[in-house]
Amino acid sequence: MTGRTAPLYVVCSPSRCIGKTLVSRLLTEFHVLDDRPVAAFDLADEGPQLTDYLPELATIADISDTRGQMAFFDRLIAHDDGAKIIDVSHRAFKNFYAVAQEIGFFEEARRHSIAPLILFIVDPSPKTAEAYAGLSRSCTEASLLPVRNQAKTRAPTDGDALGDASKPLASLDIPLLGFSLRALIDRQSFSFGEFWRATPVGLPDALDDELRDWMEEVFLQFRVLERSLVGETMLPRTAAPGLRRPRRAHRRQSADVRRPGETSRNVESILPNQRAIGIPEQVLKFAPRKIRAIIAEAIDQSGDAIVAKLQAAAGRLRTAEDRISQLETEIEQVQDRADRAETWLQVIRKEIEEKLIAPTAASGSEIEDLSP
Amino acid sequence: MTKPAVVLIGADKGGVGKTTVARTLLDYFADRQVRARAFDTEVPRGTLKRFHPEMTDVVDINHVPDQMRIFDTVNSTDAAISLIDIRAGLLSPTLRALRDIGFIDAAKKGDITFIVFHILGPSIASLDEIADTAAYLGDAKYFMVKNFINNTHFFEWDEATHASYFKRLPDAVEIMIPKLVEMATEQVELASVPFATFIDNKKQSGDPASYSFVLRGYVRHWLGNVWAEYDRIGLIDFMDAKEAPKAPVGRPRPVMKLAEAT
Repeated sequence: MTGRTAPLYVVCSPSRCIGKTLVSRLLTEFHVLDDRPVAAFDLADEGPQLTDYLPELATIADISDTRGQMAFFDRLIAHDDGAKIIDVSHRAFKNFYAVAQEIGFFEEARRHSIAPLILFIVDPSPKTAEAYAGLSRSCTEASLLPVRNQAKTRAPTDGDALGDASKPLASLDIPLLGFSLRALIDRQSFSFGEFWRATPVGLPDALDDELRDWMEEVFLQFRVLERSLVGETMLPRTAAPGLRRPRRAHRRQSADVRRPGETSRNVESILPNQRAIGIPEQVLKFAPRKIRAIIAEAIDQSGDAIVAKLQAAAGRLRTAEDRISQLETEIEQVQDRADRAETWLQVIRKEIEEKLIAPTAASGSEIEDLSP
Repeated sequence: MTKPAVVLIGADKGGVGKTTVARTLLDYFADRQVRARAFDTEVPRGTLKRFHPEMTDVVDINHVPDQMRIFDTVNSTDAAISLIDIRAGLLSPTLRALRDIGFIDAAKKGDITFIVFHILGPSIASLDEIADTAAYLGDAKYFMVKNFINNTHFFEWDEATHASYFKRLPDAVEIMIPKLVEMATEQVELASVPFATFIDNKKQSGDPASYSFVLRGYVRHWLGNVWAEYDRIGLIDFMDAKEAPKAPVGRPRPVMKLAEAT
């Protein structure tokens, strides 16, 4: 052991199918892309689970008996500096925390220079709110952070059932992802790491860009979290992992706000207080800055969207004006034709009157004159 | 000078966990910085001595010389507590012998604090032991211990039967020792160290050990619950008290439900 603090992430929720494995995958591959040691543990008992996606990085753990608990928890506090990620299924949720509390796991982790952070995926159910409140009361040796996963489910807003316990100022936000991309990343053959390094064959530029932006946003938050947990010096100074491939499309004309090394929106500008973290509130201290950064990001995105819409509307307006002009010309032409047709009708009427009606009238007078 | 105390731990039946309770008590006294010595009556090789070799002597409680080794030195030893782990079936005879040598009377006069931990067996027969021992108790502080450490379904008797026996000893206080995970129990047995030493991840020699963190955690939690019981009955207060503290509530804390549920 080198004495460095190593992060330990517990990704959990008492609810099923709300993205625990997704967050665990992202965290694991985030470390892999940074070329840093990481070990993932899968406490799920139904697929698709973490080991399905990352068979070489994740290990299935079973804590239903003492032997399994020894194999699992003893390894977690083993003396190495790597990050550890635990994907706790909804079924293992209660048992995991019961055992952890009974054996004093989080206290022991702290003694081993391991900084535990519970990433609790929230949803609107009262059961989740109750579990969150319970953890915030009982797990005082671990930091606790809500995760709002828009990519998988409807995360609660402040007014939802999360209640008072849901009011910490910060959360890890997994942004919304389009349906087709969700289907893509849900494939067991999909790897965020491989996607980051190489463009998948056949993926349209727009989707490629969207997913890449999405990953950058998530990875940025991971970086901030990690720096809050373990300090700054041992971590890379870039927002997102290395080996980045160039963007294929540039949807924004402005500078890429998350490009490492640039100062205006670099991760450095949203770094939290770098004090060693000991209690959950310290994790949450970065919240206002992070929120500001995310709001600014949202404003940029909104601005881009508005400009694009205005441009599209202007184009449509120009098209409409051209069409109106064309129609007006057509109307004039039709009107002219109608005028000319009327003139011709007058001429024809005159000729008919002169050549047919007038002679007939004259001969009719003569016949009347010859009658007895 | 602190008034000396003699703590008897016994039962008329074997395998109910007398030595386990004795070990938790020795750890408890050490943690509370109360100096204690122990006597193991399982001659020739006592189990208690295996776990606490430096403070334990193996004695034959039926032999007068050994009785003298224990009781004649109660006042002269620098240990505030003399703890005696009574071999199965010898609790009543030992109490009778103590009465005969005047030890019970000395306790009545307040010269000695006398505490009895009676470890109850799982059958109704064990309740009859209560009546037998009660005749010799005098002013002893009497604790009836239900030891769940290796059992999930322990007592066969119902509440009414239980209450009828307890009425005979209105000053008796009930203690519950919760269940400890079997593998943890086994590992501590194999390590042959006190519970507190196992928790500290050390060998008998004091050298670092490599016990499982999970098992150490279970033992830590369990021992904490056991000690909470000793705190609840005010055990340390008895040691130095001029007069006995008010009898504590006889029922254990809700924390014991954990043991029953597992």
